Amino acid sequence: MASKINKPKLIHDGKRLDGRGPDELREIKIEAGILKNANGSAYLEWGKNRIIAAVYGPKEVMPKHFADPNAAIIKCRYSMAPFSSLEEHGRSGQNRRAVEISKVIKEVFENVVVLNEYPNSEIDIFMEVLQSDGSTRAACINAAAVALASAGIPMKDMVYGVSVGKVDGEICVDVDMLEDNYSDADMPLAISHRDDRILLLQMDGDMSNEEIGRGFDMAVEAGKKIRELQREALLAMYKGV
Amino acid sequence: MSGINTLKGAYIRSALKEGKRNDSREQFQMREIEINREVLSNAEGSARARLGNTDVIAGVKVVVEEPHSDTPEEGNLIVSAELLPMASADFETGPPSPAAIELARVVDRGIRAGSCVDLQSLFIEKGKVYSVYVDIYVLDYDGNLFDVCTIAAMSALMNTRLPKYSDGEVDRKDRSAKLKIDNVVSSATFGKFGGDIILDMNADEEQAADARITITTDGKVVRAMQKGLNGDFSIKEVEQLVDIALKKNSEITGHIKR
Amino acid sequence: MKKIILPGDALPDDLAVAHYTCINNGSVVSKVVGVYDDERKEIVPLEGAWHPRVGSSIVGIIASVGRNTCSIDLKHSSYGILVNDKMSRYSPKVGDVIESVVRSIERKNVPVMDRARLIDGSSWLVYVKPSKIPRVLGRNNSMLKQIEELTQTRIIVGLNGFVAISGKGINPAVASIRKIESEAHTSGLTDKIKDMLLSMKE
Repeated sequence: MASKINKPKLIHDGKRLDGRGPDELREIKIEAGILKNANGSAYLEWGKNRIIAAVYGPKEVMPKHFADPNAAIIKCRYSMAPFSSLEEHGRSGQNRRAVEISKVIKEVFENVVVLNEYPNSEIDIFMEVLQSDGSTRAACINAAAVALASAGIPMKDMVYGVSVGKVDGEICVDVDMLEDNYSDADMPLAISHRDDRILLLQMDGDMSNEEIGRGFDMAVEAGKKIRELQREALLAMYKGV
Repeated sequence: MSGINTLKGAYIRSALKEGKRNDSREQFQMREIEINREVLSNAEGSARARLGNTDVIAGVKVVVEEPHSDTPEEGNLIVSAELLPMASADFETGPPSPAAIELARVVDRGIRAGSCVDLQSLFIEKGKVYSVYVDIYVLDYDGNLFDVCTIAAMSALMNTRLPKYSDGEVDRKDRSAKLKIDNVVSSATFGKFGGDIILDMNADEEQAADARITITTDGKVVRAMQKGLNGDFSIKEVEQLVDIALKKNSEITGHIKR
Repeated sequence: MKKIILPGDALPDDLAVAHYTCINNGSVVSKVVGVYDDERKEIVPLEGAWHPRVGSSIVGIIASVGRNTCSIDLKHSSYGILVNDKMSRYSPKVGDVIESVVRSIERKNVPVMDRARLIDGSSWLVYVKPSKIPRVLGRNNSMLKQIEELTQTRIIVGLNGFVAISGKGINPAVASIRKIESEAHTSGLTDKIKDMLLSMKE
């Protein structure tokens, strides 16, 4: 979180700096099946975020001693391109932040992928942030879910990711980079489509129990829209059935 | 590597003897080139380039740094490449592989030796210069990364804008100055199979090749070369390929400059 | 009526076959992207890995050779096992492309084979998503026969996804297989492929 000294006013007359209301998502575009080699893939534009997700597998586990004789293992890699941010040139490869995000995203998909169908095998999920503008982990989860479905990986449900934040004291959905830099709180979430189960939850800042509850409600409401977009992206692959 | 099998080499070689390639191309025919420019807005320059099914994206970040002590009045150009594990089942996660480093260095050498970027124009004031970082990400791999990465890097540099620097502050909202480009290079990478030589190998062909050579030119002169793999070329062959690479330059740079 | 379903989509609980479904929160849901046919009450998956069955034809690459067994790369979730056939004159080498038939399944998804035939050395090997293989074959192998006839090739299809092609018109045969793969979900494919191959001949 950036220093609060030069904090700009982020909400004017109930509108956020980019004109959105507190419960409004940025513009989202998803395209499935964009890569040839991967078993499944998706490209996602979410505000200024640009993300590619790809899925390989189920395949033979390498190295072999990582294999689980009862279930498939998931390997997950979230990383940010050195040119992804507006500011300085980043480092390629994964830093500690990326390793943590990879881990919590992996745990999201361990919840929904039917792992016991492919014992001794591995499923790889790769997510590259080509351009970042806040809430990238939520965006990556949306892209990865579409990539997994397009790879035909068996899942008991689809998931969506969305972030909630407290901006200028107000609970808002889908915080962008600028809001995130000056927000009072930030809470990224991943939720299952069918029964609104929380699969990823992180939070930092200050939020009351009532505010957290309001955040969940807003996330679920926004999720309905994201679900529809994920659906459309997958259906677009099969035009003419 | 998965998918290596004894059929691949045998078929590619026997078909080449009859002048046929596995994707029905001519011996020296490039696959289709498609370039999308300014695909990213945070980066100072960007381009996504496709050569057949090979798909790469190049992003340029410009930062203000101290110059190198041996070139105090010149800016820096740094080209890197990453073979993303999403691009092929054979690419692994982890630190850059020797193949990725060779790729980046060959692309870098061509652009540097071609004097494409005017490094002196990147000098700001004593002790401050612009450094231009070009990072190339391979998204989908179907052979011939050398040529497509040079295309992507060149295209991204050509739409790169320098952020304004004044009073010790970089203002990335003001990017009115364009990066000065003095020359445009392109590379042509050939593969050799026994006595047959082809241009722009796809992934199948690359796995079966005996030898590989990349020739970077600006249409008038050769700017960089790199021979790869454990086979060899005759002197005469290299001379012929230089001729072809020089001729191919206008075809490829025609796409880059568009 | 046919409709496309996604993972987590609810289905009636009187399905003809329970493949590709699971119970989530008390209701039957699809696990895959597929087409649901409400007359036949069944799901045809549009994507997904190969499910080995006893009797399935496979094409694979020998990945390693041991004293008693070989590992076979089938682009499957795990290597297949080829039990060395002491009676056969064929001695497997790494990189060989073989065809065989699944004799048994071990540990849920490991196909085991006991006899293999080396594929002709002049063949070309392509990989097709296993979910698209049924369209490459066509009803009663009609698509396959059509491609073989029009391109003068012989095509050996492994249900795991590898397809070996030999003969005269390998390139047009590969082109038609790629077209089937990308348009597998559309109808009238047999005619489209026929038109394509006839126009390539001219």
